[in-house]
Amino acid sequence: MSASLFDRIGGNAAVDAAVDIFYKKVLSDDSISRFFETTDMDAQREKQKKFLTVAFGGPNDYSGKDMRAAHAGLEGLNEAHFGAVAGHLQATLEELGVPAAEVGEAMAIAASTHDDVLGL
Amino acid sequence: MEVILSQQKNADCQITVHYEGTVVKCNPDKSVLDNLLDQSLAVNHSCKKGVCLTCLLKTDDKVDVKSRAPLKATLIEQGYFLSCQQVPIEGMMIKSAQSTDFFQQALVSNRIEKSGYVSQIFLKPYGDFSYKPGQFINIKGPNDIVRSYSIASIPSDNVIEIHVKEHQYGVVSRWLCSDKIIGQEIEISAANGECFYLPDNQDQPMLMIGTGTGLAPLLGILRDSQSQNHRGKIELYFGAVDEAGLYLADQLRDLEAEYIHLTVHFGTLKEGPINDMALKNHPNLKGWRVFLCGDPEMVKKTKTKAYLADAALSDIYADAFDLAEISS
Ligand SMILES: Cc1cc2nc3c(=O)[nH]c(=O)nc-3n(C[C@H](O)[C@H](O)[C@H](O)COP(=O)(O)OP(=O)(O)OC[C@H]3O[C@@H](n4cnc5c(N)ncnc54)[C@H](O)[C@@H]3O)c2cc1C
Ligand code: FES
Repeated sequence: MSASLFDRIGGNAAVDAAVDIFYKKVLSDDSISRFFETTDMDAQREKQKKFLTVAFGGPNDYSGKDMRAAHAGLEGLNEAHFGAVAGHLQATLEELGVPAAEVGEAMAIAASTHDDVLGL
Repeated sequence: MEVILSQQKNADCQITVHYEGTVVKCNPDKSVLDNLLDQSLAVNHSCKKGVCLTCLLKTDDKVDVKSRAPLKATLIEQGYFLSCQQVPIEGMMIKSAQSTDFFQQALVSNRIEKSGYVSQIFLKPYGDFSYKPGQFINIKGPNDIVRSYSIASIPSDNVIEIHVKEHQYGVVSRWLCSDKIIGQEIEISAANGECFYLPDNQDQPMLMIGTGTGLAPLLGILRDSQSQNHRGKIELYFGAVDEAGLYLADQLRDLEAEYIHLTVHFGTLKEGPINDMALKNHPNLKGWRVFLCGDPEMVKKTKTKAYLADAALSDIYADAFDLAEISS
């Protein structure tokens, strides 16, 4: 059996490498930064790590229900915001030199969270 | 028989907790603190952000990790938790805080009025008192209202120095900034908080940004770092609304002459926000240690900007002076 997406991308080390790049991208994007700005940046960074672990197909205890609850309080969250975050995820993976096929797989997983994130 | 309090008898109120023998119907989406306040029960509180530790309550039931994270082991052992950080749990038995568990007496030995409605206040605790400069103490004011103040002194001063800005309608700050306070015995808590100097990397450059009395913890941290032989350069930015708000400019200039590693920058709002000036002068903070104290909005914004300027989150120390909401 071939290795999982998570292992092919590089496992926990890849998540660690990706989290700062990804978090900085979303914080620098004025169209979405307000959803990520908080005094408790350590906790927010941990959330981004969880999200990346999910997108990388890694081991996580994050259910669709959790995903829904985590985004429920975010007023005004819409399609455009979802697209922007997905874009930053893709750019992060490309910046880290992840091969196109694996980037595609990760983007498909991210896309599968669409309805839960937007509460549809 | 137990009294049953319930404000809104609707489907929102599904959870029941017991507070000092009173059954309280709770909204599960609100904190324990807000639920008790909604029922007009008096519970001490201030920031509602898990920072000031004034909202402590006790329970033997299991609570969320988050509501105990900033507490010392001795308080956790006694069942304390932060009521602003905990949602109600069905059947939870809650007790009010025992002030003898964390307050001790201190003498107000002096008060020096500075410009900009700020006073330096000096306290001598009775008995042992250990702290790290930059941490804060909670002070019990009129009507047992508790507020937090950061420590500007270092232990070898043998007196605790705090800087208090007098707020026009503020209960505790106005009481502290009055002449009658000198010679009074007041109640103070142990020192808390994570914003202080660690001598683990003494060559690291340090950026300190403070607005208003946010200077108090910075002064403590600065003097502490020099007493522990910090060798890295220190860039201190002190901002206030106007000249009068730069209440300790003279002492800072003296320190700048004394500490070879220190450069002090002053700014008033006329010249723009001090945090913007600091980030403009230091666009790359990779490897820096950063201290941000004072106005909560400034602290939050600058923390993000410092991170984007490549400071590691673990190197950013923040102390946001969140005020209590205005109650009606
Ligand atoms: C960790 C931490 C550290 C801190 N360190 C310091 C420090 O070193 N120095 C310092 O000076 N402060 C510090 N603070 C803030 C301090 O704890 C108090 O919040 C502050 O002194 C105000 O308390 P108060 O009781 O005087 O005002 P409160 O009575 O709590 O009132 C809060 C605010 O509301 C305003 N207000 C109240 N009623 C009305 C009304 N009817 N109409 C209009 N406005 C109203 C007051 O003027 C005040 O600005 C710190 C806070 C935290 C959380
Ligand atoms: S920690 Fe709960 S009110 Fe400040």
